[in-house]
Amino acid sequence: MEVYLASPWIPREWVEVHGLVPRGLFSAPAFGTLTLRMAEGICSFAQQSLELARMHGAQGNAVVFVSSCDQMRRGFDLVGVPQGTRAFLFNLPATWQSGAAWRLFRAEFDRFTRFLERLGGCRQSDESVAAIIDSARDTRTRLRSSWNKLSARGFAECIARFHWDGRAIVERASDADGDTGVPVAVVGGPLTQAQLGILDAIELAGGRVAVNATETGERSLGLETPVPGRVAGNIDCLAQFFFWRIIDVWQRPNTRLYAWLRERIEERNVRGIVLWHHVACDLWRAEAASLREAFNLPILTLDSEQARSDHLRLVHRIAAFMEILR
Amino acid sequence: MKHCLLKPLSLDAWDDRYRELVSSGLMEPFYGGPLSRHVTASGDHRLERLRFDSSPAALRLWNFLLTENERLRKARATGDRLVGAMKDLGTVPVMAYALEGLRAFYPDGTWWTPCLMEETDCLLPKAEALGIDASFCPVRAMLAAFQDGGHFPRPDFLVCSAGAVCDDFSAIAQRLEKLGFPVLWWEMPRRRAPEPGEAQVVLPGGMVTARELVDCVREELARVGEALAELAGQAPSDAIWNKAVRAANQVRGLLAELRRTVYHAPVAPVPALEMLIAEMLAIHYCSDREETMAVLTDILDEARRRLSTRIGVVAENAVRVFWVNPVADLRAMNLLEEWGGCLCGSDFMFTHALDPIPEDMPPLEALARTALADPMVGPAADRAARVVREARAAKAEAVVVARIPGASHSATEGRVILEAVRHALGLPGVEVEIAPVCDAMQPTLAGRLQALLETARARRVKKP
Ligand code: SF4
Ligand code: SF4
Repeated sequence: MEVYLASPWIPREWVEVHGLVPRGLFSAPAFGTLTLRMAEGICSFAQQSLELARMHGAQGNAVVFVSSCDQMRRGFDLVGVPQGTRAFLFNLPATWQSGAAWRLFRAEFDRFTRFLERLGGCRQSDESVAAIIDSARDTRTRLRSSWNKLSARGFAECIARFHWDGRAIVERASDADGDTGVPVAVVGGPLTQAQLGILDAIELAGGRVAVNATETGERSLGLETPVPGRVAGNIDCLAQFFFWRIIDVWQRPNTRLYAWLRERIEERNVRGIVLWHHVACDLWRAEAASLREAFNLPILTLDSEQARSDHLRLVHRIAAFMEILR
Repeated sequence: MKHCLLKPLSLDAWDDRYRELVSSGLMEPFYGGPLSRHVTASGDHRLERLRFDSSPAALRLWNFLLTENERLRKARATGDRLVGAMKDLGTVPVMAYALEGLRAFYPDGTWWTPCLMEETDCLLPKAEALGIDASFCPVRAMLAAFQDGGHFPRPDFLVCSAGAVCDDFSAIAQRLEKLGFPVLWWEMPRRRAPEPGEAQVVLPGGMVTARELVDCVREELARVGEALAELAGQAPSDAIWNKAVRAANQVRGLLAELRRTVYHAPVAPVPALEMLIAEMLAIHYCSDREETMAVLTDILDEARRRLSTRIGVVAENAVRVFWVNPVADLRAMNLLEEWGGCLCGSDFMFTHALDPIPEDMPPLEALARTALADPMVGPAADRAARVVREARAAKAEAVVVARIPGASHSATEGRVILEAVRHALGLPGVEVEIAPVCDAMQPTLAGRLQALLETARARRVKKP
């Protein structure tokens, strides 16, 4: 059975460990191609996720949402209930510094495990579990280190591929144009496959995406936490590993996101930030001023509606921004 | 025997009434005075467009509400420490008020400042300059109020629930922290039904949830309690929290009685607007718990007196409306009555602050259960179920969901609630968006609300 995961923070490896097929819903090739029928005021990404979840649910597959934003939680109410036992909402704590937050995650991890078992999943032997976890970790590490070996689109597609089927094929695609171009960070919500044209536009305008910090970019590979050793037999240790790799805007405080960004922005000499958000996404939209203050860099804000309805204007805006940064 | 209809008063008319009351010996609390002074002293121009109940009890209620910032400043001057509780609406202040020398309030209440000041305060454009534009709900005014310091005094300590809270508030509170206002965040997990075989807990209001969520919130409240106690220079203890729960229940008991008296009366004895304000006192006692008790007692006495003397504030055939969500413009509550409706029940988003807190269990467990009963932290279907139950009990004839401009929950919850109401009760319902100053959209509002009231009236005739 395929299990569609609406967020990169749901441990896809754990689904695989149970003999099920994890699929990043946000990496689905169909993302961005559906006709929407939801009300105004709903984030366009959440809307697409709901539509896809309905579609895959109707085909007998399972869907997993996260509680990280109001839009996703309320969206789950609309698709999860009709799908009954094949739908799950992972209660991801927003806080992360207290024992209670960790225990909540830990309890949710157990509940998620029971959900996978109800779907017919069965945890494999400790040896196989270790192999799956180690291989996914290696793939993530390999992907992380290839940020400067690929074009922005190539890198994003590799990551999408990983979230879709767990595979990474970076070695065959060394298409980056060295260190040329003005280094920028693209920060924000999920950039779906249909929206990757934004990355092309940045490069065409003389920019270089030195950090893809969107929810589907390098950041989605998670924080490289210390290797948990032989984690297979130690569920606690494994859950910690999954918990601590989360870096996102909805965490409170969201200093982990800023620390992660700072490290890369400084190391890669980023000169400007492109903030990407979906229409009606309050969480990312609210960060524009804080990002400007934190990094003291020029910011260009782009949203999914411009990308959909007026791509040409968006390209011009990107070009003008690059002009300023040059 | 017919009811006697008591007309509401304009602000000017209230001034005349005030003079009469004073000359006939009206005794007022320390924050008393004519209502019109709030326009001149604080710029609350919206008062000039509102209609008020004419009782001394209502005068006291309004004066209590409109002097909160002033009273907070005085409290600070006499050495009290101020706690800015954010988002949970009703739990943290219960704890804070049990500690000597602490006063808690909700900066979230600035939600209403653009309405009261008819946007002359420019808080909304100022919030935009701070990075929070009109795509967010009116609570964004809070951000600007923190920055300019001219509204409420800056709290000594800020505490905010995070997790299953609206995106608007979560984003704005995070922005606030980045502007240099440290926040103690505590986890409020999304409420869910227990799974088969999972330990479960019944919450105030009757919902059932998983034990592990209550444990999480209880642990978090203990952490918040420690921080509050430290601020107050005391050691936290169950004895303190027990006292807090008992005191909160006194207020909640009074409010429950007021709601029962007014909402179940054949003809409403207290107007919708004053009921909204009275209910709001539950969440943090408008910064003075003892006075809240006195204010509510006065209103309740007035309601009972009117009931026994057959005095009402709406026509006998007014359509009984159950109202969901607070209104960004207070004037909307007047309009409901002017157009022939009356309030028979409400869910102003903090029903968990109205339910009694259990007293037969450890206090933090009881508070955790109460916090988790928040209608906004669970599925809209849970909220809808309560609306259905209460609308049925109140013999509602129609349901209105006030849509809050920019609110992340408003995009979907109205539909869920109204569908449940139609399905379970067959009642007509409507969702109306109400801006902080709704004058410009009044024709649209009139069209939608009047059509709803008309539909409800037509159903009366059709009934066998
Ligand atoms: S893009 Fe924003 S609103 Fe949409 S699902 Fe993600 S966090 Fe939520
Ligand atoms: S009105 Fe709604 S969106 Fe605004 S702060 Fe309150 S719960 Fe959040």
